[in-house]
Amino acid sequence: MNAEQLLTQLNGLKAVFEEKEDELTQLDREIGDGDHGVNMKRGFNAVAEKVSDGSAQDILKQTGMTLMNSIGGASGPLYGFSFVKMSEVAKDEIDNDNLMEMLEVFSKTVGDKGQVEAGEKTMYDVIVKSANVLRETGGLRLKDLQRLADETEDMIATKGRAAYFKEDSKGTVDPGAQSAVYIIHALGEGAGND
Amino acid sequence: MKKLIKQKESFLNDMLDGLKYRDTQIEIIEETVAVRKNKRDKGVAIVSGGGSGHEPAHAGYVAHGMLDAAVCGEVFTSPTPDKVLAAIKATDCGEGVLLVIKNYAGDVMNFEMAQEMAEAEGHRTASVIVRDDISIDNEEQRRGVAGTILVHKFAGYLSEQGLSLEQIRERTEEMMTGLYSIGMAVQPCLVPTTGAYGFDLAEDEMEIGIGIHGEKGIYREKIETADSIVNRLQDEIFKHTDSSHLIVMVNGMGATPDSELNIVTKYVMEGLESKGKSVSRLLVGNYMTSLDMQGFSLTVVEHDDYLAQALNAPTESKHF
Repeated sequence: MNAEQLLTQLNGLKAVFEEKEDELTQLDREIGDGDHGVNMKRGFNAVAEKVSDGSAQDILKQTGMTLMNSIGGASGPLYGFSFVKMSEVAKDEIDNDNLMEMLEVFSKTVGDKGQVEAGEKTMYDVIVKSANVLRETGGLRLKDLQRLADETEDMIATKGRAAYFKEDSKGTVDPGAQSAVYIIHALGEGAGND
Repeated sequence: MKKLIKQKESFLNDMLDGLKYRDTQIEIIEETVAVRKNKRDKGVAIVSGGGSGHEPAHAGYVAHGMLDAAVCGEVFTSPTPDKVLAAIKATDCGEGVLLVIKNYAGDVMNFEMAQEMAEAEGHRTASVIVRDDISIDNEEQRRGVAGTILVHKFAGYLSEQGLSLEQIRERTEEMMTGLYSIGMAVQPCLVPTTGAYGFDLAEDEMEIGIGIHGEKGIYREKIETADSIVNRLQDEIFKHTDSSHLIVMVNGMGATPDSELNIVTKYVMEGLESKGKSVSRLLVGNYMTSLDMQGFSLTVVEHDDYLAQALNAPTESKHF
């Protein structure tokens, strides 16, 4: 994936989050405060509007800063900072090895910044296992990523707003895990994607 | 959805544009940061903020004696680090800036990120995290709710007394160890940005232990009469404190009629009297709301003479 393809993928997330706004709202309403859909839509609208041509590194960094300054909430700094950190390892031509590196940075950034571990029913559950998916299947197919998000359904939240509901947080897919599916899927373009 | 808005995307900016006409003591910079027109020229600046939908919090407390700036996020969404940084830069007059943050993952992350950026640019900052919601057992996870307004007032007073940034932070931390809130709702709020109610509640149900973002409470129960509900909340609070000198806030959640707040207040005060508590200041009204939610929260703070004096000191905020 070169810079131009990367930009197309990231710009394409605007339409994805427009389409998925209600789905994310519905999930967040169950175990959060219902605004994850509208926040992600605002973030990637801003990306489509503001992020312009440049190297792959520039594009990732601009995307990160734009997300950080437009999403708000916890997702804003977590996704935003992760894109900034990924820009530091991205190469001009992002192949599968480089993508693996980026996903590891993504995972480390969310883990550190969000002080979160696997199994806490957050976006991290999808992000941390996505490198494995890439390693094992040679791609980042939507159905494989979705399975990771679906695994959060039976988890009990111990981080984020869903944690207030303890046992009651079971039975709903974490909205952050769901949005992470779409973001990672977009990054996987050209890596044996569907 | 029936709401007095033009479009959901412009909710925040339209609201702040309107606020400028109503509150001529503040101005809006960087689109979403409310600052005092009569800026301080010395002392520690106090900056707070958070998502919108809690009006009059936080912009309504931007006034002499309370806040120097309030950073306003989208509805129920923490503001972004660039805006918090703008607030720090606009208010710092060289003696540092105290950030009053409510304990939500998003607020803490965005404010702390701005704090790092501000420090890198040479501003001295400190922060306190408000965790007054005792409906959450785990103390680290407790949310910042209506008690935050008392923290604004106390920190604002300390700044007026000329205390240093570190002194203000310490004394505010100390004050917050005796600050307890718990809230309840009889009707959820309609969130204009999603067009949906924060949760669904049957005709005969209530939520105990609500936060301020339209999220569900910790317990869902059959509705009871106002006196029983007040008893229930007081019992929760007095599991945490046995102090007999209290300042009390009965906070409306946004769409609770004043008449009902008065009824609640009656049972709050009678209950406290029967427990032998003395109340040196009672605040009743909409201080920290959750859009059009119906319900109330009860906040008590243990106090000494100094804290009472601080909370009773004048402020130019017409909402305190």
